[in-house]
Amino acid sequence: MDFSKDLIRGSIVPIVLALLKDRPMYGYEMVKVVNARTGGRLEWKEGTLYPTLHRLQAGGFISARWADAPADEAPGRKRKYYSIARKGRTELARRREEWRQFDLAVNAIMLGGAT
Amino acid sequence: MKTWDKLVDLLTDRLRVDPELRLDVAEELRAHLEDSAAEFRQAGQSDEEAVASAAKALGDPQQLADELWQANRRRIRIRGVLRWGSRVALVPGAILVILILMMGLVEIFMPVNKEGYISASWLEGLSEEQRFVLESGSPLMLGTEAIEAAKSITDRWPNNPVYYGNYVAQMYTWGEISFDEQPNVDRLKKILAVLDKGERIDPDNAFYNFTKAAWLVLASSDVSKDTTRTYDMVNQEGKLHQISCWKIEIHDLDLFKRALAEFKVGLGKGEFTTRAADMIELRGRLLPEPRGLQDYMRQQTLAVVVAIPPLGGYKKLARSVLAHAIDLAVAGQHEESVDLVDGVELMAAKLGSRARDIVDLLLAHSIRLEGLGHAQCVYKEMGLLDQAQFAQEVYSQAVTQIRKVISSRALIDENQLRHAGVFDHFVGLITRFPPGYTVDFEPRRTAEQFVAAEIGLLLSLCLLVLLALLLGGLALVSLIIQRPGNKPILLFVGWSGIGKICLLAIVVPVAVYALYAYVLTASDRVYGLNYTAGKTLLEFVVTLGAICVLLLGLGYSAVRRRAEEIGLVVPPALRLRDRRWIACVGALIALAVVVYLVGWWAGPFKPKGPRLRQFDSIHGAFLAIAVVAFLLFWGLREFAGLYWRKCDHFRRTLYRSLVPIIAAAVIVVGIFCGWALARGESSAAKRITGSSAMDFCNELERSDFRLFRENFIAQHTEMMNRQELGTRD
Repeated sequence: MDFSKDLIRGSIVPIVLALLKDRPMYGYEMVKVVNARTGGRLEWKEGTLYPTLHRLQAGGFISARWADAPADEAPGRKRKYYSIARKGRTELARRREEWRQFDLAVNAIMLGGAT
Repeated sequence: MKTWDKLVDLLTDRLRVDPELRLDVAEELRAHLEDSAAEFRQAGQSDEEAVASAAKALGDPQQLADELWQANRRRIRIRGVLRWGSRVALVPGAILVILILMMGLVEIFMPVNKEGYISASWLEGLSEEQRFVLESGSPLMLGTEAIEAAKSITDRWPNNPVYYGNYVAQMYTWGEISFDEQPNVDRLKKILAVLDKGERIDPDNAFYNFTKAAWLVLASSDVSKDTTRTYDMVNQEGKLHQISCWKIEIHDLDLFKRALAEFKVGLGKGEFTTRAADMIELRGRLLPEPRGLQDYMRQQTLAVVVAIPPLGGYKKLARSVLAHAIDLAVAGQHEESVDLVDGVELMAAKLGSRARDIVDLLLAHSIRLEGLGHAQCVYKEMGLLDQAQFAQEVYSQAVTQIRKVISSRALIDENQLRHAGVFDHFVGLITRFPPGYTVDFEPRRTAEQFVAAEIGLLLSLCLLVLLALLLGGLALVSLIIQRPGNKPILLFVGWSGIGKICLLAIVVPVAVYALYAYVLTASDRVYGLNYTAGKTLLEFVVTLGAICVLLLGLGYSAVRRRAEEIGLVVPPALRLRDRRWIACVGALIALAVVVYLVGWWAGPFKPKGPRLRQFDSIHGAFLAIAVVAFLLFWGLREFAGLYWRKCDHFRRTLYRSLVPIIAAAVIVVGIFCGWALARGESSAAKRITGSSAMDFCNELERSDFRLFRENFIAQHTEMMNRQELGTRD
């Protein structure tokens, strides 16, 4: 099932923040993890990730640093790793709560839950 | 990598206004495409298919290029402003900081003009009279101007004896009246009128009477050595010496009689003073606390630059009177002769008992000795051989006493001088530190050490700014002549990078040095710079060397790392293995420096005496040269990789990127260290109480010479009492 473009675009920021919550990641890795965890249902156009990452970095939600790629994966190459900043963690918590409330509200209408 | 160049150029083309960001994004996209293509290859695709698949997976290039531009637009604008700021503000800011520091120091070494000599702040809160006194004391006033200034005060406050004494002294100093030639009638008249006025203003001071007597003697007679008449003196070794008496030839008897009359009037007065010391004290009391060493030095000069009349005239007066006393004794006028001899001794006692400086005291002694010598001749003429013998014994004792003191003056206490500092060292050499002279050198010495540190700081910052300008100039030339792709890029190493460089390259070395110098006092700040010049130079060089090495080393590493991230070809980082022998040489020199400093502090390496002129702390200077040579060598070796042809772009980028880092470091260090050192200097200058070697007013009080003055005071009191009793009888 393909999701609408707007739905994907709206979810990309909380997903990136959630991915970086536990450990630093580089762009391509994030794409792979999302594709793997969602079983391919949330397939991003890879390029769309980078403008989001740059916007988050400029906003101070995440930080970036260059580091050597592991020798067994890509010897002699460098990758840009992103980490979540304190401001990003706060934003992630806010987005999660917003998502929960949105989910409850939409479910109540769409699936006929309690009013 | 070339595989992706076209695509990546297309994606990042709109970011070209910020070359560093463009390269950074391009490198990131390249890495992504590489990873992506590698995965497609693993899935069994050919190279061409994998490249095409990776490019397709990235999405629509036009849309992505637009989104990347939108996402980075704000960042580009902010970075543009920062880049512009660093270009426009940092280097001029660093130069401004240096100029401010230079202005603070320049007054110490540059001549000050008359208008600027007395700082406006010194005059705040002073009355009109006080301002007059202070402003007329500029040591830059010469000749007629100085006389006019002194006259204006005494005209405004005509009854003040100190102001009038100062006026007369200025006239002597600048040749308006002087003892160097026989005066004609008009000149004598004019001089006597000035002195008569002084006598009216300062009636208890014998200065005007003795000075008038001296002038009248000069105008009426000539004295010369009488080789036919001698008196005896037994020296310290018990050897007998014969000294010629003086003989007088009187041209104008009336004038000479007037001279004797003035001499006798002077003998009846309570004191004999030129008032020079009173004027110094007056000025000294008006001066505020100095704000720095230059303030202190100017105030000291102002306080001590007071004209002192030439005292040679009184010696001639004494000789003429004594020669005349011998003539009277020969002519049988014994009583008058003895009165004159006693009179000369009383004049000497009067001068000695009111002496405030060693010159006055030695003149009094010299007059007394001539009096005692001539007394021998007078008593011999009168047939009073016992009296003559007694006079000879007293004479010999006085000579022995004074010679003992004068010879001991040459024995400068080296231990004391080590603590003196440059200023007191040289002034101390002039006044030869009278025996027993004690003074607290600490505040002046500390102020000097702060000034030396300020000079060291200024020179260091100048060096760094010159380096920044040189690098900036090279980068500018590259910007002009290189093709667009090869132009140097201004790399931003990140706020944390700048923070780390500032902390490690500046804060840590400065803090370690401050701890060493001012907290642990291991740097032996109890000694003056006259003793520690070489060692202090070494300390400054080591600290500056550490700052330069860390600043350039860390700056280079940060820029190199950043350049590598954005895909520039950079020279390889030196590994420890390559650095091993350089590190060994450095460690050896560092060990020598530590051993020298510890040895100096503990004692064995301390020089024997303060010999600033010979620059005796030569070991410290040699070590400083070794440190500089090592650092230069280290720099050449460490940065040799920069000159590889393939690293040209990086080298130009490094030059350009180091400029703001160095300029920022100069601003930070200049403001904080400059402020701290100026504060330290000001605080030390405020602790200075009075003066030391230059303390003209306390020269006798603070030394063993005061005992001689006490003798004169006792003698004067006794003679005055005797005279009073004689008058009553």
